[in-house]
Amino acid sequence: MQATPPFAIDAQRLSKSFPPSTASSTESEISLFADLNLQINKGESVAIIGPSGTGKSTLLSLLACLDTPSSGSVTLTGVDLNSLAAEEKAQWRAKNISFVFQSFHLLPELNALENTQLPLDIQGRKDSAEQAEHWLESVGLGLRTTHFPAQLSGGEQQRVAIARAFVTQPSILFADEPTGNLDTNTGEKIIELLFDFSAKTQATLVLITHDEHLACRCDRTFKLADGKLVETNL
Amino acid sequence: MKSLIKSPTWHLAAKQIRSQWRTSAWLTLMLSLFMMTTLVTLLTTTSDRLYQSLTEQSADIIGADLVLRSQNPIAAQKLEYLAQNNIAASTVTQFISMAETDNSSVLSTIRAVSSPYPLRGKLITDPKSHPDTPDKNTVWADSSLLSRLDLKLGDKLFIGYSEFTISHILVESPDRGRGFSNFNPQIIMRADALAATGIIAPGSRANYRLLVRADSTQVVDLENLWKPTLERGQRLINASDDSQLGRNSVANASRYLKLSALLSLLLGAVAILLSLQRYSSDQRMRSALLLSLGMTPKQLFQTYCLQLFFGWVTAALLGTLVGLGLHQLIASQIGAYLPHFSSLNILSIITSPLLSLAIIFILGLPTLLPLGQVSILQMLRNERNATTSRQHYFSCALLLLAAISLYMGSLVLAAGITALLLILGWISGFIAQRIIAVIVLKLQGKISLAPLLKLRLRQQRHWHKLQAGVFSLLLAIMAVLFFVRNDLIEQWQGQLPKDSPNHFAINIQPWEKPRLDTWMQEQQINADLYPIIRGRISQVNEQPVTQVLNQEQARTRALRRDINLTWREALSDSNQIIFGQWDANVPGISIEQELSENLGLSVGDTLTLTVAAQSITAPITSIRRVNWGSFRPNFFLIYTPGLLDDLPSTYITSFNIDAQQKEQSNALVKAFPTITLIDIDKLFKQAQDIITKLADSASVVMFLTLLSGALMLLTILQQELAQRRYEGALLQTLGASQSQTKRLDLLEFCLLGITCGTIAAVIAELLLAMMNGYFFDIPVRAHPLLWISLPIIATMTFTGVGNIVRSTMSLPQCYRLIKGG
Repeated sequence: MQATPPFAIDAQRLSKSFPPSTASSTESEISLFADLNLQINKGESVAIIGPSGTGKSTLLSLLACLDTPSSGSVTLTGVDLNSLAAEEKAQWRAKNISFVFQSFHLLPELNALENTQLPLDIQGRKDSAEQAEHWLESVGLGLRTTHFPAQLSGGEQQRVAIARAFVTQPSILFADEPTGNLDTNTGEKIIELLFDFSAKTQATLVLITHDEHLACRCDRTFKLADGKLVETNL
Repeated sequence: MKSLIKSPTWHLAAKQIRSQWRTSAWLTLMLSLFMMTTLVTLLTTTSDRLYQSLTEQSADIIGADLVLRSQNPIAAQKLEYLAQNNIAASTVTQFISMAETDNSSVLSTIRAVSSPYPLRGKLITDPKSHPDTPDKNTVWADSSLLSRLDLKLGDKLFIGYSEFTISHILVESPDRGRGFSNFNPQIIMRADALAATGIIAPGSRANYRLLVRADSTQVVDLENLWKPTLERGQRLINASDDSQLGRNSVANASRYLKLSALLSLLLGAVAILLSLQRYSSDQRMRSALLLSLGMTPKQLFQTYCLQLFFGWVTAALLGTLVGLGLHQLIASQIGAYLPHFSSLNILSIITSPLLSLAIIFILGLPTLLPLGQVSILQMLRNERNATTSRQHYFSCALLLLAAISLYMGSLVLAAGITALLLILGWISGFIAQRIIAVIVLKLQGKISLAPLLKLRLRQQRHWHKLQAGVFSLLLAIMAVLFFVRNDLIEQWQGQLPKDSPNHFAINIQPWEKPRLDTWMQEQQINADLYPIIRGRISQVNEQPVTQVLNQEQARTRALRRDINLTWREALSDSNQIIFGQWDANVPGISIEQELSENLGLSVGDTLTLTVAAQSITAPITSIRRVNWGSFRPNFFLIYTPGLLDDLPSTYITSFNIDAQQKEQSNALVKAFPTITLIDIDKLFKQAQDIITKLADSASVVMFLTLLSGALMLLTILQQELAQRRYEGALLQTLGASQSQTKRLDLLEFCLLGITCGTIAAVIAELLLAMMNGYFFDIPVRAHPLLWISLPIIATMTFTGVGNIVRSTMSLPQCYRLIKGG
């Protein structure tokens, strides 16, 4: 019998709660969500939507193993990251997870090429410059590798961020409102790139967005509201 | 004022200062202000007091309106002239001799004075009331003499053959004279008691002064009258004349302190400017909020100005107090070595807080003014970074220079030194940055963090240049001060071979010589007595020196004063003939090599010597190399026997008494009371003690300056702290581990520290070589300790300060920071 390949992301009975705001408060802990289950297959694209303040970004940080849940577990491609030592966990994340943020988060003093090669430099890869150049060409910025963020438009900056996300050829890509700072047209192009590259590299894409139209492009959509995560059909 | 105290801006400013005093931007601002005020108070008060103490030429200090100073007794006609014109005058004979008790003796500086004394200034004694001059058979003495001889008021001591009772303790007196003899305990006796002591005889070393009290017209008349007739070795000193201040070494020390203050001011100003900018940037959102709530820009500006003022009051008050405390500490160390330590003057106390007020407002107003123009929309856009125009920096720099010029009392000096420091700092910073870049390039492929380090250095290059520039220079300056002191002390110690003579006996009268020779033989002390005659070279080849020698030769110091000469049968070991021959039977002179070179003299030339109106002409028969460091009596000119024998002379000798036989020196003083015995070991110890105490005081200044430098580093690191935190968070989000970012920071700081330390070592070594070679005549050598210690100190400072500033962030914190923008 063939073994079932592990999920890209497998979250079981995930809960997150916070202590009350003041130490003297008699309130009990504030629960953001409880007992969430989520399984995402390899290569799948999943959108998580929901109103502001429901904990979408917190959920993303738990799924990406950036934060530890109050209870429950997360495994990524079958690996329980929280059981690894800090150094190993960082190494695993560097190789397998990438992010695209709403505010691009490029370092202003580094040019496009240096920003793109940063994750490979963290891993100590010697081919970082060549790889970064290749991915910048792929996002259409082959001629602007030496430009600094301030010399690039918002759309171009996000393209550099996408090149930086894919340069490590991650198995999972988390995108948190990737078009939030862009106009509709530019946003469309960015989304095209994101889905295109995810498909080509067979990366699992987890997209957090307000935009239902954008969510529709994903294989599945989940809505986070009132502490519950529900799969919806848009 | 009352309305200001009741105004809402006053209350808001007071509340803001209470709520913000622990924020890092405000705290660094206050710390910078405090450090600057402390250091400048310390340096200004010390420099001012030193300057006043040793260079003050007022009538109160020299004890008269006009002083005629001479190496020989002053002609009686001058005193008669003054008496005829009803001008008050008194005479002072100052000499060094032994003050003895039955058990011990101390080398003292003694003034034999005629009444009234002094003519200007106040002589304070304990008990307070005292006659014009000491009564018959009494003396007044410094308290240090009493403690060294274990005496009290009313006890007796011997000076030469006379016995005196100590009737008063000298607390403060003008006319103490100058030079190193100032360090001896001082004694005042009556002029008419001097002869009986038997100390002063023809040829004895003494300094004669004629003090005059007169109005300014009379002073000018006397100067006009006496100046043309001044003999060699005579000088007129006018109380209002300060032309000779420039050469005083204490004036140099005072100037050095003022330059240190300038360095502290510049360091402080940079730290204050940076913290103000950060503070102002942090306050933009708050300002937008206050404006949105209806506050006018003027009220907002007023609030921040008041807050700045409150901050200044606290920091400057504390800084001034701590500075004054440290000054007192230093004063207690070095004050005892100064002949007259003037009291603190109020101007030097308030200079530093006023200067810090000027600096904080010069730098603060342009930084805080834009807060009134903050757009309320900023609250919606969440923009935080304020931009500071170059014009702003330029106007700050100009105003700052104006304030510093005012403090230094010279625009040229302030601008010159500032420019020099800026240029040197910039060059050091530039070189440091290049070196670091090369090192990082070499590290590529060798360590895993190298690529990240390269990126980090690119990001931080401007800050690195500033940090490295300031810190290399600071370390280099401090290292030079430290090692110069060590080199000097080591050289002195190295000069004293174990068996070299450690005692000089001078003022030995001719009639005492045979008895002393016998005494020395009995005590088995190997001492050679040299006759000593004071005279001056008046002719070369029987022509006046002014005609034969060129201007430069005529300026030779040995020609401008009486020099010590001797006559001998045979030359001692410390003399080596390099030209000609020494033959005691052929009348002639042996001249010291350097003097012969300076005067362009060679064997065969003749020299005419004038001693007490007699002239003796003799040919130069040999040229000698003299080992001046031999601690034996050495002379520029040595005559063969027969030429000088009839001239009035005293004798000098040097000998070694080892530490176990110190009672021999007491026995000698007892047997020959008029002889002055100088204990070289004690003198060296005293000089070393002074140097060590001065160096200790300088170390306090150095330590505080280093602290200011560290504070400035802290300010710079805090300036880019947000950027560093953000970068660290992003790197961790992108997969870097916490230890990786920590190692990256550590590597960066170590690299900076090692580079700065090495550059500082290069600068310091070059400066030391220059100073030792040109100024101190010490053999140039490398200082391995410097090459090891400076990189270590710099690395420790960088990593220490870096660790204070950097904070580790957990992954969730990183993500929240990134999400928060």
